[in-house]
Amino acid sequence: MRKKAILYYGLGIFFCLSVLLPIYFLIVLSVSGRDAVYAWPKIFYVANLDWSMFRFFFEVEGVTRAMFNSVLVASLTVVFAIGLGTPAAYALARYNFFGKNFYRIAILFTRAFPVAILALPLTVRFINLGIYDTIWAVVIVHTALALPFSILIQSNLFQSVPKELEEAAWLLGCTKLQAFFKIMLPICMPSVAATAIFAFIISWNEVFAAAVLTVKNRTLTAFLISQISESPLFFQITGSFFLVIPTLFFIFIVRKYLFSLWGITNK
Amino acid sequence: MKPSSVSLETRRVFSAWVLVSPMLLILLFVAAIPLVRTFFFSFTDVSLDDLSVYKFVFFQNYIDFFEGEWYGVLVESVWWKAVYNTLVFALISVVLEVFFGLLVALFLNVSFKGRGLLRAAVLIPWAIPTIVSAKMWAWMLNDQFGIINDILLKLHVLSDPIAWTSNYKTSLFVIIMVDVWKTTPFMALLILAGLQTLPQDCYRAARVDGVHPLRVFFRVTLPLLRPTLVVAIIFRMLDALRVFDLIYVLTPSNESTVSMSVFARQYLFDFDRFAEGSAASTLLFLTICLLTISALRIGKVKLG
Repeated sequence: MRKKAILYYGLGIFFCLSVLLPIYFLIVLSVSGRDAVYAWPKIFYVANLDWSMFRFFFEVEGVTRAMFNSVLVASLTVVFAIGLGTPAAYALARYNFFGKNFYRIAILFTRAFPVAILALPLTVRFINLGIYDTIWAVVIVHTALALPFSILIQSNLFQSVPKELEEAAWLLGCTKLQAFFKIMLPICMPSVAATAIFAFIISWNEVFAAAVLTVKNRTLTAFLISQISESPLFFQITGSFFLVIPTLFFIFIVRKYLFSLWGITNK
Repeated sequence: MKPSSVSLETRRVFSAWVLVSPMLLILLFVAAIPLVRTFFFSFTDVSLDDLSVYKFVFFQNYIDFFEGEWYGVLVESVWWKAVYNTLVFALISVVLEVFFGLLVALFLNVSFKGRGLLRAAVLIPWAIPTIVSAKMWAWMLNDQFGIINDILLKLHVLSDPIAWTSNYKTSLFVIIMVDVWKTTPFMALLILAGLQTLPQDCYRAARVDGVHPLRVFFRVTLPLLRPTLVVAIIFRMLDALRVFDLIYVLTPSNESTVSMSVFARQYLFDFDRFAEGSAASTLLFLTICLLTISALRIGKVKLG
């Protein structure tokens, strides 16, 4: 038994180290002043705390706005990916209509094209629509990116719930809408939450569409990639720091929901 | 046939369409229309200067024979290099990610103290934006001030620092490694979520019968997990085959790591060869469709 415990904690420590070490180095670097980035030999811990890079970072025009935009775009993407994806997933799971199987495959194949190639033709379209360089343009593209995942996962999920539960609710006088909100959604809530988190992460991570579709209203990732060629390395490191820290908090807050993706757990 | 039953059926179809159409509209607008336009342009001689002026050239962008020489995407050696790189990248990274993902998921499925925290910690690389992880690794792998060279030199594994991202021998390997680092958590998450829905009675029965744990894994866990695994592999494969961000940030303009997406993007927007870029995009799309459909067939899985 003891040997087993040692093996487990050994493995656990190994997984943690391989995941966290790069992030640890990033954090050490971003509070060690700008010379540390190029220093040789490297530093492995914070010797003297230096916040100068943070101050510099926030003095750059547009940084705070870009951070705000990133959060806003990701939140709106969640709203649309769930708001449009859940009804569609329900229809795919419960109704029979023409072309249903074709749509399933087609939805999947919208993911077959790299965003970097799709983004430029879309620019022209968004200019014509008058929403170019607004967060709505980015939200629309991110929603399209998150939808396939949202729909296919949720329709899998709705299928796994027995039809009889809903039918009982209908017999007892619920309308279809009521039955969905009172029976289906509470059962599936954990997975829907997990899907929402996925949508948030997809949007928070996406950079190329956001970089092409906006000029002034950039998200933080887009802001950073537009600066990558021109800006010094220490600026990029600090920027990365501010993309990583919110992510860490976010994951720890939502961790409970993440693993209920495929439905109800039996443990 | 009673009229009421017809109207019920019509009503059901109608409400299904009401539920589906907003989503279809968005996907049509953002994905399907640009896609069809790209197919269309791949058969013309259009250039980026003016997309409204073009004439049809049929398959000339794909392959063409003119005055004793072959032209077109299909005879470009860089294109075939890109195809090779993409397939190697997709195959190795997906295999490694499934292997490690399964390992991590099985590990995190056993109950022990601090499991909740560890589960969250392991997920972090997946949630960090790709440009950040790519930048971070680019810095760690840098030949002059990279921390990995520093550590390997101190451990006497290396005698001279290596330029990991620009050396043609190591660059594809580095791309795969960073991708595995970043995406294994996603795999582990999908698999772990799948593990939690498996019926527990099978395991109890196996325990009562005293079956060896390895046998339980191959005879019970893997077969039950197959639908989850296939879905996870398909999602992952789609992403791996169109790999772009990672290569774009880690090894820009390095021919030894060019992928099909990178090739298409360069032709479309950087090299001013829009029509051939469209042809490359079309080929990329067809390749991905073909591989995905075969994966669905082989996996015998029903989508959604």
